Amino acid sequence: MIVIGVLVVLSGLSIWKPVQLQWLTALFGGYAVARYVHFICMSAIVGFMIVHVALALLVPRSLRAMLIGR
Amino acid sequence: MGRLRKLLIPGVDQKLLVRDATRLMPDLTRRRFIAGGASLGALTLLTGCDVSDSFSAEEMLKKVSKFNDGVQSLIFNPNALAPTFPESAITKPFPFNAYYALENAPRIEAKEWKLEVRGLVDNKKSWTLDELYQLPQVTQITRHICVEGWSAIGSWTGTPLRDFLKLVGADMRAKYCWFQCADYDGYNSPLDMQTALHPQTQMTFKFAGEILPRAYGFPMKIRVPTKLGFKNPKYVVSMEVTNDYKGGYWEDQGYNSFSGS
Repeated sequence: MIVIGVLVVLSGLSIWKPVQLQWLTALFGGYAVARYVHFICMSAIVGFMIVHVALALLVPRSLRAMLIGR
Repeated sequence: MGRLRKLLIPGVDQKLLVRDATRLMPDLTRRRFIAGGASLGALTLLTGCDVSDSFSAEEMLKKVSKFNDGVQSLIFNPNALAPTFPESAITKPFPFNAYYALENAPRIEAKEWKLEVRGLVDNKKSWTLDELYQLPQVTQITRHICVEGWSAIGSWTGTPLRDFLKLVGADMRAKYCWFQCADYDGYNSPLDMQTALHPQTQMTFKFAGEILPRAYGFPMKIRVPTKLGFKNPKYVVSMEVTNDYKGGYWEDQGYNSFSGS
């Protein structure tokens, strides 16, 4: 997850500034590749979030613990 | 009433029933926590960004966008060139894109068209297309990146805008070059001076070696490879050198004005 977080930020920067940060875009293998990397990482984060929230809802005790700590 | 009476169970003490029900109710501290959270949320909405008053929300977003402009202006390196590509990399067919269909694109008669030059310039003379064609031209193959999420590589030929600005004696310390276009809703867009003076910013007269087709902005477009596509105005009819931020078609609708790449 940490790796994906770092990748999504770096690929995001490289498609935001493909001229000013062109070394970063080149590092990803070009603008088109950086966009794929960014999209895949974003999908991974959204997927993780869906599973994460679904699991918490399946075990209602975890929600109670979040709110009142027991 | 008849249904309610049916729910009463004969022989059960109602007071005891209520006491039992209260015991089963959720913890009161939890209730207070949730209620407190809700009102705290309501409070932040009221103070920071009142949704019932969309004006203040928009003002706040505008300030953030202006701040974003400042950051991008700081990052912008006037000597950093946009990557160029070989002819084999050109996207075919290059997409037509506008807020209208191609059939509604401006039809401009070359002989009637003139480029009006206004504002902080020494020579305010208007330029005919033939006169502009006499200026030295260069070709560049660069990537056009659209805010919608697509990109395409094209070949553009024309005169560097900074050469033209020098020629007309523009005040290079002014803040903007403001372009107005012939599109039916009056497209316009401001270009910050540091980008206008970038070596690759071009007054474009040809696409892929041919006279600029109507789809791509005949007779003249401003090609800015360091900006998003909507900052590359087509069908340009006038240029004003100014210190005032005059807004633009998409900029006024909330698009970030610098939108550099």
